[in-house]
Amino acid sequence: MNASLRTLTFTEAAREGLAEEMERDSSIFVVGEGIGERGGNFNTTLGLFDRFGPSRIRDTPITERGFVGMCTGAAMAGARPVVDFMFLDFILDAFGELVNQVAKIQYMSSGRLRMPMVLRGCIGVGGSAATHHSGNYYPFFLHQPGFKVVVPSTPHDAKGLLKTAIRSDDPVLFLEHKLLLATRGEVPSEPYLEPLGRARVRRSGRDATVVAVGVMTPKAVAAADSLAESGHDIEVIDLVSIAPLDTATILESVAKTGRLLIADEDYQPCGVGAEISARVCADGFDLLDAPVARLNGAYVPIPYSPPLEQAVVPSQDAVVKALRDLLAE
Amino acid sequence: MAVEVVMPRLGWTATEGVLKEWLMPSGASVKPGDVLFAVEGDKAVEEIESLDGGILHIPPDAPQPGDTVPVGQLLAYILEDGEEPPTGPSDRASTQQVVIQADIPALGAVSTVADRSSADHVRPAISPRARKTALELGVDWTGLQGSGRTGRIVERDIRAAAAAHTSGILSISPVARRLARELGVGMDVLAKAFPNVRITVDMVQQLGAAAKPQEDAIPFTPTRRTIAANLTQSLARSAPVTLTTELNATELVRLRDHLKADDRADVPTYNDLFLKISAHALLDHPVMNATVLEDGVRMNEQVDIGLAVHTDRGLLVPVVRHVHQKNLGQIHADTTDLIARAQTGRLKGLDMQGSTFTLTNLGAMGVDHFTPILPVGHTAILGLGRITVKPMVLDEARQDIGVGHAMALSLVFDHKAVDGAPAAEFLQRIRQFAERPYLWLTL
Repeated sequence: MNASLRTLTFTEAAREGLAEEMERDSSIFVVGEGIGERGGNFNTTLGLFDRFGPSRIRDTPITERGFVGMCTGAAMAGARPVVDFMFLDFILDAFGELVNQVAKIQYMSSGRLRMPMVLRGCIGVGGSAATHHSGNYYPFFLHQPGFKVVVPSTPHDAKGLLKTAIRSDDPVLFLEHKLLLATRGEVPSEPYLEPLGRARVRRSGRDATVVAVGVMTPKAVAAADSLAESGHDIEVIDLVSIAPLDTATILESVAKTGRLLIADEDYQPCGVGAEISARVCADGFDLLDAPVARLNGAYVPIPYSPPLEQAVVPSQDAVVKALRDLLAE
Repeated sequence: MAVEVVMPRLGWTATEGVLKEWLMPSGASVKPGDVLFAVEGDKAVEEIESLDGGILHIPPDAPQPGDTVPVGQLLAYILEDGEEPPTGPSDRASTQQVVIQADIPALGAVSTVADRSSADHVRPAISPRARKTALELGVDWTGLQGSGRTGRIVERDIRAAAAAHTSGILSISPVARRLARELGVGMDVLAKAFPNVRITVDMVQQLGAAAKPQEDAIPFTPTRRTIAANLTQSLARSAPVTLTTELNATELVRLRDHLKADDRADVPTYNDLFLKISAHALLDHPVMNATVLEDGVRMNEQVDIGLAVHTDRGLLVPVVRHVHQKNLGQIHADTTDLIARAQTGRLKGLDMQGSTFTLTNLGAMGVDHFTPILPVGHTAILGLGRITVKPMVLDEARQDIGVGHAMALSLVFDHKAVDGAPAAEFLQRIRQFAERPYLWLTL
């Protein structure tokens, strides 16, 4: 194996990035439920309590609005808080603080105050986490000005993006899909950063474009590989950045293929796909050879039952079918 | 008994048509008057209705939507309940009963169907990308059948059409090909304008000015493109010669003055008078009423005269049917209706097909003589010039000079089909009828 490349899990890579940044900058601290000695429900801080101590790896009570409010003040005062929500569903209890203060404070202070806060949490359907622990929620933060949102799908991006998010002076949501946490991938041993706001072309193709969000990326790549056997050449874009949207990369791809599918596990109405579709229709109307297609999870509360849970999210086969339909348009 | 459904003939010169789409699925129960399928003609898509009732059966090996199909070819059967589709060779005798509208324009029954056709189905759906590609490649997509799921024309259809048209050209010189590329003249445009000949630089230049995409160019509308393609095709296929004459229209003017003085509500126009005059002159000289085919002419018993009408959308030529059987009042009623519908965009494709002769009038705009282009397949077209008051010899025998109404006439004829002398005799006959209207009083 190349000396500079190792294989890490998504969680290990993100944790390594967090540790590197905490080592580099003592103003960085983490708050969250069970992230202290326990190391986090999803092992996001495993081993870091021993390394950085209780003042920088800080357990909290179940009071999201309270600890987000305190972190807001800390960020205003120059610290760089990382709020670990465990399940992102719990961010809803801090929504007022986030939308009214975190997103707006730079504007309200005419830029005299910065808001270098990372809001991280696990999203998505999987593992029978049931309806209160399976949400995605990112369209809320795309809609609201003031936030950046990243949904990495590889260990490499998880580390590089978390480090950049921590260094950003804007509030950044760093969202990890539960089913990607154990994904293994190559990660350089040398420190590196990945830029916010950029989509990645994971697979090049000429016949149709799939823009995949987070966990849909590996499914889209697998679907494209299976369609290649029947002669279809599919381009897969890993969206990575939900806010801001990398419209340029998508338009460049659609200019080549003329056909666009947006695959997103989250609900369809007013979702990321709706926004991408509207932008492509507005700025790339003459590029389109078919209506923009969307593939989303079912518009229902997420069930606990494993078979039902399987049924409400788009499968690899569903991506294949959506692509076949798109190619037939 | 199984009734055959075949490709109808849309217009006199049509030898084939494009089966656009089936509007009834195979196996459907159809009644007389139900719209079965759509056929694409020159300027419009016509929806064809069934004259019979029964179960529609479209054989698997029948022509598919998008196919160009010879007139009369079997498309489907209409079966009785439980009847097996025939397997033997088709029975052409029954065919004619099902071929519907094109040859019976006088029937008013098809109007609602055709209205819908011209309103909704003239232009197929096309993706934005395909539209852009068509513009780039110079492909006229209005006649294409799309391969998209809902029949939408998509990019691959445009590229296939461009490739097909290119290969349809028997040959093109390298210089001409390069010039065509420089001028932005599509291979399909060339193939359509000059079928079955080697494309030369001259031909490319002829189309080049119109096709050259310029920043400030106003793109042709589909109607304009059809006009351009038809006229160019006509020039490529005919050998037009123009004869001009000036006649004494004093009696014609007087005739209209008398009719006006009689408080008639509907005074025939000069167009109406010349429709009448032309019809009787054509009966006397039937060779001028013939349709010119690839390698022969077809004589037409009926006199159906196209009347050129200038509209916002361009030149439209609705057809006055059976002019030779109508009196001036009927002709006037026909032209009033056709002109009104031409101006308001309510003409059907059918209204503009099947003329055997054409009349065009620039007199109102101060033109004396001009050389109109023959409609494709026409032997002749008559151009009416202006009527002016001028000094003239009123009576040659008595050398009587006075003031009268002079009118200019231009006759363009296809020298391929007819020689100069018979054409001149025909023009002479028109002149006699115009100068002495009582000659056709009893006709």
